[in-house]
Amino acid sequence: MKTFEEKFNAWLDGLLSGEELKSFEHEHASILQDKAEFLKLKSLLRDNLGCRKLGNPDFFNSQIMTEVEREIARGGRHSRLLGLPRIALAGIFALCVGFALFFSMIPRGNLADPGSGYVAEVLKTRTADPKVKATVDNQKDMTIIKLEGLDKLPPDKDLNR
Amino acid sequence: MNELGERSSKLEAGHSLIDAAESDDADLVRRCQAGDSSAFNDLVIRYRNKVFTMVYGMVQNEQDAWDLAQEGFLKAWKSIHRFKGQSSFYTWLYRIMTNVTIDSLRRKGIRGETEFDDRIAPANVEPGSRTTPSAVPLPHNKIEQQEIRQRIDEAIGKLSPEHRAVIVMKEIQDLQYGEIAEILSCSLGTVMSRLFYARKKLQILLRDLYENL
Repeated sequence: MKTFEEKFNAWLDGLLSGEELKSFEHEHASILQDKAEFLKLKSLLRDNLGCRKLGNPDFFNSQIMTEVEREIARGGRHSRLLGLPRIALAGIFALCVGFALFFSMIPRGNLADPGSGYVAEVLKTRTADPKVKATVDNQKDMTIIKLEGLDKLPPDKDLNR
Repeated sequence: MNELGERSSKLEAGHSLIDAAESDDADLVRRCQAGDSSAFNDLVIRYRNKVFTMVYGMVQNEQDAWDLAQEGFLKAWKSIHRFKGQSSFYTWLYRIMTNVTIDSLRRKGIRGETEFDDRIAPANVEPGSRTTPSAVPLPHNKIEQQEIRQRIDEAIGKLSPEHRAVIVMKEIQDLQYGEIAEILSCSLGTVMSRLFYARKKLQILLRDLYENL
């Protein structure tokens, strides 16, 4: 259902017709005299606000197009720095570095039992004493880790502490 | 019957003109999106006058209108790749221009007076009177054109940015209600409500002016 404001505006703009127009004018007879006033107001606004034209339109365009060309130039430089080929090359380079680090730093031992060599390497690198040697011996159902070079614990050492 | 035939062929001609203009715009927009700045230059030429008139109607200052219209066109260029053709190009452009102008008015702290203040209406009006007494004394001589414009500018200045937008788009640009709603991204009811109150307010503020016409 249309509100009064909707009907009023439509009536003023000549968009009401038929039964709707009759009904509106019948219900709001007092505002019929307003129509002439509003039409004068419309004419006043159109004559005074609508007549403002853009002065020096060519200069207006040239200022805009100068900025547009600047934007295009900025956009070109920006895209060259972060263009797809550059990003792709950077990605490939990062992958190569990653593979190189992986193959050089991660120890490759017995792949059938990757834990054995790795554990020995960890033990060797973690120990502070260079005399300590760690070896791993895999036997059926057991893995023997041998640590050589460890000092004996003093007899009065309390292990419960 | 002939008259009906003529009318319908005029309507068709009008529609086909609009379709032709829109397809021209679509072609220019496609070229802009492909990076052709000369196509954008053509679009600016096509719409600069309408845009300037609309923005001026809202800000009543030529320099501000110039700057805001330029700012709006530049924003349009920067976001032309986002235009998907869901609305006509000019609706999309007008939306940008209106937002730029309303933002500028808000930054200047221009909010307009309250929606519809009965206190501004002259009091002690006889129910049967055809006209209401004017708050401003009527000059004996015809008001000069400059003074008319100043009065209109002052009256528009009393409206909020949103009310200015609807009154300019309807009374000056003669856009349809649906187009105004699309440009302002609001409902048709909101447009109607704002238009009603803006018209009523200007009727009261400018009555003495148009009564002298």
